[in-house]
Amino acid sequence: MTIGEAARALRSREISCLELTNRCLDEIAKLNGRLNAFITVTGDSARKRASELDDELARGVDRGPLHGIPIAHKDLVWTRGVRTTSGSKLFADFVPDRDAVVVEKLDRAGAVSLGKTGLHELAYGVTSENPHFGVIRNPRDLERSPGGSSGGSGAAVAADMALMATGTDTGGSIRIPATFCGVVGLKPTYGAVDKTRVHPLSQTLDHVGPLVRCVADARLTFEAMAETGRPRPGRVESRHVRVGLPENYYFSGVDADVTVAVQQAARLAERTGASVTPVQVPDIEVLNAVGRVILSAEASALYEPQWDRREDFGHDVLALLNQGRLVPATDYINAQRLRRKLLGEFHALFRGIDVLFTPTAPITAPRIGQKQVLLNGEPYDTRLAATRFVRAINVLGFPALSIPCGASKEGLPIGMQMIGRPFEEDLLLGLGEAIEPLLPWKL
Amino acid sequence: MPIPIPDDQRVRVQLIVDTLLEQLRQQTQLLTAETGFPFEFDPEAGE
Repeated sequence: MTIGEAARALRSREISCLELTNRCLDEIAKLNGRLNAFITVTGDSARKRASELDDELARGVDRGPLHGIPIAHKDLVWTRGVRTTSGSKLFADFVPDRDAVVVEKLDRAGAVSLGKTGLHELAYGVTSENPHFGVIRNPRDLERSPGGSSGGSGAAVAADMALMATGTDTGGSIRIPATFCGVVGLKPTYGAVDKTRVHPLSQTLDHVGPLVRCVADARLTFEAMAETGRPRPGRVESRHVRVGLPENYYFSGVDADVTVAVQQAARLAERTGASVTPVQVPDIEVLNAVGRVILSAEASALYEPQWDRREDFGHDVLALLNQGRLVPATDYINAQRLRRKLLGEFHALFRGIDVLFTPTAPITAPRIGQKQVLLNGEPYDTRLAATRFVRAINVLGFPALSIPCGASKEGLPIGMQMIGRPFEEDLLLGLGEAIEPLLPWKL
Repeated sequence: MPIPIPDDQRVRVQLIVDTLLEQLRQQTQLLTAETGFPFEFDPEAGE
């Protein structure tokens, strides 16, 4: 069920907030033993809140489209009185005394929190194979990874355990689970959603956004989460949107099914009236290197105070933190200089287009424990493959939407990434809503 | 005093980091040749 469908059913009294919440809690009870999507389920408080929201509706108080909608929060988003582990042994007993700003906003909009979803340890990885809280599994195929780091959020939404879940994205951590689980994920513009009291990983690369079942739900939830007061560009009809389809980088070393699905989606976009033109994109490999240097230095600086607890980090996270401690300050500064240069090149590209279409990832969901994938017949580190098309967009801070656009021969979902100019989420979402009904993937 | 990376891990970690930084340093040289190294500091920032 989508948020839009639930909102209509609530207002026509076909279902109550409490019944909707119980329906999700039943799914969690049925599936979480297999999927491990949730670390903490707050059933009692969710039911209490849903009943209060039913009372409000009965009194004629309607908070809007999220009134009574059951959602979940990634377990690094602070929730007052509810344990927030960040998927880490370091924070296994941490109970915040305040909510994150984004939780406050969703709460005011009437959402019902069902609990906290699992993640890759400290959000520093893409497999969601968590050494402290267990492996999270993909509802499309239990032997495969849901992606990460927001793997629990992706799995929960795909399995109908929640109608929306918050995610964070430092190098693809919303969009990768979205593509591997076959749901919609929005990484908004850097700064568009307040990160206060969301456990950080990298100060200049972290973003907060929603994982949902359709683009219209991404719009509803983003509007509730986003900072207000910033003037937004006017809504652009999809028939006027100029789409760029990369000629270089994004379609080399890519699974053949992924290429077919994304290029077909681009052709379908033309049916909405958008124009699609081939473009040359700036050097994404350099942007990825810049992103890795910045992330490793910023994350290692963040965890410097915990460095005497090395044994409490998982092996893969410890290896990355080790790497960051060997990045000289000079290279970090030069990475920030290169970031500014490449940002200029991307703004120049976006003078000729409104949206760039790319695959979200060159692969579909890998098997749990799979360390390498084959790209063009060559072995490639799974983490680097999964982040290859998404990490660069965190360096730029541009908004990016991942929508399911097809399936592989094995039936695994394929995502398309739509990248827009800063603070033009409205345009991205509008084009996404126009294309979505034409795409072959149906939830 | 920062706690060092254990010796048995340091060589491997250094190799990974050097590979990553090599590409960055090539691009930095090109950037500096193109633009110099402009100094930017705004004393009013953060007021």
